[in-house]
Amino acid sequence: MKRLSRAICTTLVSATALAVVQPVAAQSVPNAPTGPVETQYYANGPFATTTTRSTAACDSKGNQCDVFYPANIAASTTRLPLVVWANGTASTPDNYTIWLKHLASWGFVVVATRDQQTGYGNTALDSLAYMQAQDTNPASPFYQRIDFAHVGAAGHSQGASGAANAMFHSGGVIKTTVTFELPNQNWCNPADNCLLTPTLTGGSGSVFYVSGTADSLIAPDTQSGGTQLNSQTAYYNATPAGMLKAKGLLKGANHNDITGTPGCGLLGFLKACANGVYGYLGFPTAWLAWQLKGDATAGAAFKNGTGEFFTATAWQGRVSNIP
Amino acid sequence: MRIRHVVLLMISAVAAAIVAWPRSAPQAPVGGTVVIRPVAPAVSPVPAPVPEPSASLPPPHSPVEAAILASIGDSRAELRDVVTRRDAPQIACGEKRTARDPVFRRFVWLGHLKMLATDDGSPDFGNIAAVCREGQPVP
Repeated sequence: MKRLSRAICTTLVSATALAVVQPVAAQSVPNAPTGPVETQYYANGPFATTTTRSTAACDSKGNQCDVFYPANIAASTTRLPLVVWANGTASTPDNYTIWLKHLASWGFVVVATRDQQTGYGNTALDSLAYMQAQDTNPASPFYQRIDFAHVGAAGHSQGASGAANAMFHSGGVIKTTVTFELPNQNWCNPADNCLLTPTLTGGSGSVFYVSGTADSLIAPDTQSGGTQLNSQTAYYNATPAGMLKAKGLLKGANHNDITGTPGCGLLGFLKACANGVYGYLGFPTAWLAWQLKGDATAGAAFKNGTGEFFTATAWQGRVSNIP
Repeated sequence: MRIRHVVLLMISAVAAAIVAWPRSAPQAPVGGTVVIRPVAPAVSPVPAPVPEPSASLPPPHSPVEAAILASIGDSRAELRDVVTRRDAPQIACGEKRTARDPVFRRFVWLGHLKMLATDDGSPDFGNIAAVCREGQPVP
């Protein structure tokens, strides 16, 4: 705790007030948004963003944390919802800056450990504890700024497991999770470094399972071998009916499209990035805005069978139990 | 009838010109996959001297093997029969065992993603292992 306090006191505010870069005109990008909710949340939000990195460890493995947040947080009259981010294998938040800044532009504070092995979710929970400590430190820019009644998690690949594991082990603090490219269990070393379907039993909260149709080797919708072991569909089906849940696959997206900047570049195919982050900006942000900020219109987009999500041209393999 | 014939000929000519026009930049194949053609290894005219291996030291790991072992994070992990795909050197396949799982099991390594799949006896691993064959799409 003392160590944390020192970290809080010495938190380096990189304070790069970043002008919010608007995504490329929607109609000219792959997987462009088509409906009003997706279009709204595809665009960056109204806030300029900034980034802070702790100068000392923020998790139990000795990693620092990056925090993305609205630059005017001190002037905010309300506490802001928190999103805990978990990186994919061997990745840091540097690989996801477009996506993480996009969330911050919508008024979320995003804390991201720099841990590169996040599957168990313990370091994500550590980063949550770090923010709880920041919230009580008068010297911190986050002093009494975080709304801990509205905390979500999100993550990519191994980090998708980490985000979900963090929610299921948060004692109800984390209310929702968005998983990007949740791998099937063959890719987890050891196997319990993945979210396991039995973990979902008796869980609470809500989950939005997101993958790409070109990522069928690592994060398939349904597994071709027929075992249904931890495919997106298997995870969705194993999620208790009492939890709000949705699942969808972005057309043509490969394993690392969420790392787009915003596109993949000419050599993107060498790093399993097909189209870029574009298609992932709209509905995943809308889900978090619904779950953590109470945007009922965004929530209605996921209504089973009839919501906007089900007619969006960039998505397929969609299911939800949203009434 | 003759006018329609001329129009069809013009459309065909335009389409052929578009197809034949050289692209200004390389295009990613559909679905984010690519097949990398194997390149013949450079032949050195004079073989470099190779030091005699010491009997007491384990054989040195190749860079690919070192990367795989680093990802496993187990100092007692062992690899054998590791083969790198010639047309996609970022992909390697072989067998591994660890302290926690001491039986040699097949694996697939995607070096560009730093991801390792382990054979769990399911048909799904068979599908993943297909990526070890040359000419298969690279994820």
